[in-house]
Amino acid sequence: MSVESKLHNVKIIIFDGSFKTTPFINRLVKGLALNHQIYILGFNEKLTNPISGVNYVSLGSNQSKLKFTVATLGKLFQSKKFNLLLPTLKKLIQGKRQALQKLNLELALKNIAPDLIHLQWPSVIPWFEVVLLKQEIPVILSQRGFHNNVRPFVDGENFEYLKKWYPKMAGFHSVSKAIAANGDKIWTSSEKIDKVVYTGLPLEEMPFSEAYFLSRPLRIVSVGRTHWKKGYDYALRACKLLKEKNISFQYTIIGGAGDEELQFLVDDLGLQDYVNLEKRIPQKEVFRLIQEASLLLMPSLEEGIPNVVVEAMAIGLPVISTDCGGVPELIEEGVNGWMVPTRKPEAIAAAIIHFMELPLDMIEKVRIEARRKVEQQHNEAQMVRGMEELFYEVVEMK
Amino acid sequence: MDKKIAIIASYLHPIRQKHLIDWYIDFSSNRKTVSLFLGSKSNKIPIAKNYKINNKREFYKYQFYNLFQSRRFSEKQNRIQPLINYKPEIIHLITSNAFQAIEPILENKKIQLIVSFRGFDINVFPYQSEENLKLTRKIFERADKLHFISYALRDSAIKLGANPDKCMVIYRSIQIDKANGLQINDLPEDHRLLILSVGRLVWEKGFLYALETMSILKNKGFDFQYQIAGSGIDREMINYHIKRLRIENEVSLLGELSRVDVKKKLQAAQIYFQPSLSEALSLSLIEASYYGLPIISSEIGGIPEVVKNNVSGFLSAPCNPEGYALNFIRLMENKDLRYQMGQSGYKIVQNLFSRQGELQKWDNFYEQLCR
Repeated sequence: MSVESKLHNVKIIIFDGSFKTTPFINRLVKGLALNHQIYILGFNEKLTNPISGVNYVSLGSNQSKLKFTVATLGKLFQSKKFNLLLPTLKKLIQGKRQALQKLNLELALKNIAPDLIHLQWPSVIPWFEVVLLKQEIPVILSQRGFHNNVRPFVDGENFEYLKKWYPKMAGFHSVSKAIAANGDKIWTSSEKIDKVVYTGLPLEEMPFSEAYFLSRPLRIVSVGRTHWKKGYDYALRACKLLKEKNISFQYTIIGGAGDEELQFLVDDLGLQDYVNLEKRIPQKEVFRLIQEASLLLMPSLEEGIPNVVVEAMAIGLPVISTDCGGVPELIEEGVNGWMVPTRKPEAIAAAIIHFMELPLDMIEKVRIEARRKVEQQHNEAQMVRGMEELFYEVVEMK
Repeated sequence: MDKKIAIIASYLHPIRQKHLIDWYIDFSSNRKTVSLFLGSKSNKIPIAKNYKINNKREFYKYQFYNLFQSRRFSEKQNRIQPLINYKPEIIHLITSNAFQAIEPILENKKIQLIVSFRGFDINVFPYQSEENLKLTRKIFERADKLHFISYALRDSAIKLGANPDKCMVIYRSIQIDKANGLQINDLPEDHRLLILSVGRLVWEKGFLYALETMSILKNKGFDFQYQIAGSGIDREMINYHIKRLRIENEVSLLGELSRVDVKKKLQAAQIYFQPSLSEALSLSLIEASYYGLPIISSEIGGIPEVVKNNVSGFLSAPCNPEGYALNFIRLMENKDLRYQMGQSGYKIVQNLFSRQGELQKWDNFYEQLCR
């Protein structure tokens, strides 16, 4: 598909369920808004940092009844579908919020008349079933992580649901080749459009940390909310092995506080002096904190592609990660990072010990290569360009 | 025994904590001065009253009553008016998390306080934060008696600072049908051996290790089925590992079953498996022993007080699938051993965990208290 397409300016609806979305979606939208008309639809009322150039359309607040009513009636008048006024008033009085939100969505689509709809998660597909059945507006689905590579394979109903709606998508966006392969397990065809577009980082805002310090005790950090797929229990067992070998270290799990199982393991394994379970903190502070560490540990069982690893590599924090999901598309063993098999505490412990025994100039080489990899594969420009190419491909296929 | 007793729980789950409701019904059956109070009245537990005001109507009702009273209530005391009006002389918290809500009435030192602790209250809660630890120690201080459901739990509490003199252990119990004895059914010819677990799908029950154990047994060529009855947040994780280990043919999740269906499953099974990581006592183990099942479980917490190693089951170190698997192999092809262990388990339950026995102990305890 030629990028030199007649369609320079595309009208796209981005749907995540909320105005706020995630940092990576926001970065994408910022980049796209320069050349295209972007609409973000959502149920929120307040947005603290709206992105300039983006149109925010409310489908009716989940919180405020008054704002909901105003939004609904406003949409109705805008679309001039006055025949719907009485039934709508009736539904408003009856409090049938979801039915009205669906109606608001329909009206919003009519008002905007987009070229393309980009759904960010499989969980929002139910809102667009009518649109998918009509097959008038092409819909793209992003495949990012848990909801694509784990949930369908442990929840039979979910699998059947996705199997039904996947064929109706005009195209797919995958954050890694691994997750694209998982998507194929749900449905595939010779005409399937599935583009791997790697997540992009604002690298200018994330300078490479020239000064690196291999601390003693070794400061290890993991970031991410607790969930069984994050594999922190294996990381803690690895810590037990390190303790037994008299290795001096401090392991912090940012986002680990409050998890009963982890707390139990810390006490049961006698790691109170070695492990800190910290509360979740905003992205900016995470950034500052991980710069104080000497090593990032990513022990997950499944990942699309772990953003925290990409970020760590960008700022020059060495990474040991499990080889799950798309990690092998990011890390080359010994060149820009290190990998271990999933669910193996002995392997994690061995990798950490190996790391600690490396000469400093070797670690420095790895840090520099890691930054290079990220600059080449995960810059924002390639993300925006990649998504644009996907959009053009899908719109032209119409 | 004429002192007024208020038995208090912030919440009781009508299915999962039915044993507490049954205990209360038996305990109060021949007493006139006992009342059960819950944080919010539940339709499923009609015998309970509220200990606190839950809606505006109740609030105004008590404001009205108080017009005719000389004493004034503080803001905090207002909330627990129904309990204050009951004028208890003894308060027994059967869930320790109700302590903060009823603190105002406890300022009256004449009221004797007994607090019953579960595993979570001692093994998890105090470690979650400094505040939690302080609160736990505060409860230890104020209470006159601290009740634990196992010696293991009591010892853990003493380590946290509980005064040993205040501590007492009374095991939880199950209803024993004295009329009918133990019936262990033979495994029908064409049926696979059935291994059973009953419990919430949470990390404490160690289901990940259970699945790894089943995988080892399958790879060694054993033929069996493993069924898990229960629901919980780890359901997806368990499904994930079942697929990963390729044991879909051997393992099935039954979801939450009714008490009747659980009983049927226990009667149909040959081995009961519970590789817990954390357990204060475990009513499921007691029940399984009662139905004559040999037990394979972990040597932690209060489990050795329910299952006698080599007598009514095999206990091994937690988080060690190889260890569990070895114990399974000893049982799987030895029907006589299973039968013997089942018999022993049944006797242990009769001796230590009968409802009658527990009620007797509580009677003795309250007798002493009321003197």
